[in-house]
Formats: sequence, C-alpha cells, structure tokens
Amino acid sequence: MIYLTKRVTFSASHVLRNPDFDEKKNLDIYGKCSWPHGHGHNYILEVTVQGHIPKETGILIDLKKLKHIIHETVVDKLDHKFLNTDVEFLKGVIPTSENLIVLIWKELENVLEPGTLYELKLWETENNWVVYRGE
Amino acid sequence: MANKNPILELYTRISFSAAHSYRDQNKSPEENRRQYGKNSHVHGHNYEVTLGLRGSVDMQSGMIINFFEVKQILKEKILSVLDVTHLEEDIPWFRENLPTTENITLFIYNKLKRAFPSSVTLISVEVRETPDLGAKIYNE
Repeated sequence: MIYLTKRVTFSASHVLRNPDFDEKKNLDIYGKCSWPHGHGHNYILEVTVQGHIPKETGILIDLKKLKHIIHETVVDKLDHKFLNTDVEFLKGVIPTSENLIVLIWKELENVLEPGTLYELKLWETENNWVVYRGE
Repeated sequence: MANKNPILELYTRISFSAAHSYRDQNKSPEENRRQYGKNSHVHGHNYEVTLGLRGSVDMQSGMIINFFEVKQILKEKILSVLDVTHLEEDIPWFRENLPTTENITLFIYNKLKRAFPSSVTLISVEVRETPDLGAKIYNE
C-alpha cells in the first residue's frame, strides 16, 4: 500500500456559537471564537489517498485529476466564504475544525473511488490542527 | 450530522523557552566536555511541544474537548513549570535525569497523561528542541 498526499489551502471566516446556548455559555465554550462578527483563518487541508501502484503506469492517482476533484468538491465551495451561512454542505452545523473535517471527508468520499480516501488533516492555524480517518 | 459521533484527533502546539546543559555531577568539567561536547555548556532553546488528543465529536459543541480547557491545562501543567527556567537548576527531576530532548518529552508526557478529562485520550507528545531535532512519545 502506498499513500499520496495533496495539500491545498483556502481562506474563510466563521463564528462559533450555538444558538441553543446563552451568551455566557457560548463565551465559556468557544471563548473569543464566539464574538458575533466572526473572524477568519487561512486553512490548510491535506488529503491522503491510498492504493497500490499499478505496474503499467507507476501512478497511484492522476495528480491533476485529484487536484481538480479536491478543488471542485471542497476548496471552491469554502474559499473566501463565511462558513456559517455560505456553504451548502455545512448548513445547520457549527463550523468548528472538527465538524469541518468530518463534512469535508463526506464530500470527498462521495466523489473519490471507493476505499481510496485514507486521511484528512486540517490546519486552522499553524498551531492547531485535526486529523480524521473516517472513523 | 445524522450518524454516530465521528472519532478524530486534535493537535495543538505550544512553545516554551528554557536553558540547560548536560552535566554529570560525578564527572569533571573536562570529562563532561568530552562526553557531551558543546551541550556541556549552559545554553537555551525555544522548545516546541505538540500534543495529540483523540476523542469523539460532541454534537452540541462540535468539538472533541473545549479548546480553552486544553490551553488552561497546558498553561498550568507545562508552561508554568518549564517556561523561562534553567531546567536542571529549577526543576529537581532534571537534576536526577539529564535534560535531554528525550527526557523533557518524558517529563511532559508524565505531567499530561492524567491531566485531561476521560472523554479524550492523550495519544502523543512531541518535543522539538530545534527544527532539526525532536523526540516523540506515543501512548502505547
């Protein structure tokens, strides 16, 4: 098995608030991320696919095709958007890194060959990131 | 999200600055210099610590653990103990154990292994002394 990773970036804004919580609880849980006017990040997303190397080509997956899929499926929908309202696949969800990575996984899993998606890594800042393997 | 709570890993990185030297108290300065080279002189680093936590996403908050709680734990258990210190002068454990990258990683791991709520598991602690040298412990 070989693993291949493609890295992409997007910039987006969000605010972390649960409408079912009062002001104090939102502030307790999300801290300054709950401030009502929102804030933004330069996100970095690493998509790792897995498979066996075909003898004839030596290519696990066409990188151009992978790049196109990632951009069309997630990056174009997320880049320069307000994640709380602008993105169809995030509707009704608090756009924490955790929720974002799980829903990005679902979008990519739908369009990639079954069993090829291995791992996603999503950096919200250089000091904070999440990893998801579809569990 | 309709189905069961997804399980994922959350990583966060902090940094602290500290001085250290490698010196065996039972050896002469010459012997220490021979054994540990330039590390026998007192010098300092900006250490970077990355820890990994694993847990399931709480549907209400959209998080595996309250991030501010993590920051608070790190401040209390790590930064308040190690930041701007001279490791083997200020912390008794480092008088018995050389303040190598490996031992610093072990020290931090031991401080953190029971520090988090039971809803998350500490999976790894990595310490980089410089961008080129680091040690990592997995909770195996």
